[in-house]
Amino acid sequence: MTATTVAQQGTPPTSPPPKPKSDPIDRILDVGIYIALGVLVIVFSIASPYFLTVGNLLNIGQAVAQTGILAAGVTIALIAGQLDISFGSVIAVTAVLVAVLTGAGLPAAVAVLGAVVAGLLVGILNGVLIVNLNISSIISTLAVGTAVTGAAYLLANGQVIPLPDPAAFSWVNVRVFGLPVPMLIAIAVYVAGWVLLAKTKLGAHIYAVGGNSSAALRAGIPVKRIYYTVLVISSSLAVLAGVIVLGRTGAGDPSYGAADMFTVLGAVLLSGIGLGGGTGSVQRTFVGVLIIGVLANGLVLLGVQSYYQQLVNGAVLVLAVVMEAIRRKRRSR
Amino acid sequence: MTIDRVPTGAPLLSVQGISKSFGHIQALTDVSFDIAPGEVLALLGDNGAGKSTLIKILSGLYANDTGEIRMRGIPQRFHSPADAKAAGIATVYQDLALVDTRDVAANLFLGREYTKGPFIDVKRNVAESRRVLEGLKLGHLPASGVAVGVMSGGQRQAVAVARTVVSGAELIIMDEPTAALGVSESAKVMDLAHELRDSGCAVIIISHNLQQVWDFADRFAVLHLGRLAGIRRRSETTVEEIVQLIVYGAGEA
Repeated sequence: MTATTVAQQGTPPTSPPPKPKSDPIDRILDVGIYIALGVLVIVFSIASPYFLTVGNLLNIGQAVAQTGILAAGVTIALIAGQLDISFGSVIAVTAVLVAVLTGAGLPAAVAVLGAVVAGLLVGILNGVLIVNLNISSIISTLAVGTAVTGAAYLLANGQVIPLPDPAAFSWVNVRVFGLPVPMLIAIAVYVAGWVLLAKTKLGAHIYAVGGNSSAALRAGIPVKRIYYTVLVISSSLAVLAGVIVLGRTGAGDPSYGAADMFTVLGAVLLSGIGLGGGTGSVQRTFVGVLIIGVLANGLVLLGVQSYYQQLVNGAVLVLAVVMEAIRRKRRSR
Repeated sequence: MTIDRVPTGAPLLSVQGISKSFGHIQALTDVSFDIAPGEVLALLGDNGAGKSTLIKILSGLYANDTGEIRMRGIPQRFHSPADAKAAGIATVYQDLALVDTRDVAANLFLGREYTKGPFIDVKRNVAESRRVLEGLKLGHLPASGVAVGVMSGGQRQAVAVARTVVSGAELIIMDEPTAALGVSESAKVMDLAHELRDSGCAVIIISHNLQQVWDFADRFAVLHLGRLAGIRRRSETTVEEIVQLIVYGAGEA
């Protein structure tokens, strides 16, 4: 038979080694967000002389810090394949709980610890529904988020609760080396997120679980533990954002976080992460956060009415989803 | 130059009198065969002949009702796929179990990454991946930077096979490896099976396409209605005889 000869030759020498390349459209979409950010910056700096001033850039930094911290958590969970939308409720419950506990005479540190425990419980509850009861993450975190928001309103008795001693949280409004503290915290979160995802074994497993959970499981990766971990990271970052809001406003308001839903999801989806899991990075989410922040800031500078801003936010979200749909269509060959 | 590669040494895997039933359906009846290191065995049979059941028993997904599995002479009891893996049996399923969004190095060392403390030792993972790929004459595949999801079906199959080498498997079972591939890609997968064989592994290829495996297997094991209809060396059989075994079983052959 000819078989033996073929076998001995090994790989046929004639065939040129086909080098797999990433999809060109994919690469265009990959750089698209950087171009979009650049275009926005250029347009706004031409349209408003105030846009590219240090003061205004710090305003943007201050404004996006909260969105950014939340978006980092959502990104990490989404890379593992879980869409966590309970962050708004965690902000509300954090602010209200700390206000109530300090109002009852507890030291600020203890009150914050209480909020951290509450945040952990939210993350774990999300995990129980998603991992153990096998309910989709968007439904689970919507349900938990709704219930937790309700709890925040009950706890606050529907009121805005002022901090008895706002000075305990005034560090939030301090500037270090000229930079607002929330901005520094956000930067630290992003550096930590980048290290976690790009450099650690846990990060590699987060990508693996999100990319193909059954393959990860068969490779001996503790899939359930990874899900719990990302959900707890996400809710913990929401607690952090809640403390920052509390410091900035000096009061616990159960309606906090409600407005963050679309800016955060918009920023995350703009990064091109997709809802499938296994892809994305906090660096790209960071660019998404900046786009949303620059857009909001620029529109204010141009004197655009806030209703239009909401319209623009919605349009950006639609754009992000459409880009993702194009990408997914091209991937499913 | 006819090479009869079936070594005369001790078998790597020895299966004796395996039976398995699901309720009153007898899926396998008294199946026995051996496979030696450095051998490619094609497991053939029509749909429902028991190929999948046999493979699932060997990879630890099902427990056999009767009979014995030995690896290097040591009796094995597989309670889970992890047990089979620990005994040196790796199965490449049709779904390949790859993380499409990650590169080759991440897939080859999935769950067994080289680390420095909590950190991934990326350099080492990539270097080891290159070594494994080159050892299998797959040096043209990029070890890092390209997601396996954008690779061709044959390349993905190759990555999945290379991973079994990383896991230290001695017996590699390939479940219909060419089912979704074209002719030239199929040939490359078969070449890969030979690379594995030449490195001393034993390979079982499951197929219902005799044409594709005819040139590449050292022996053919044919299942028919849950029984082993026959085992033939390629040098001692014909396509016609194997087809006969597949279609009619041992009785008519």
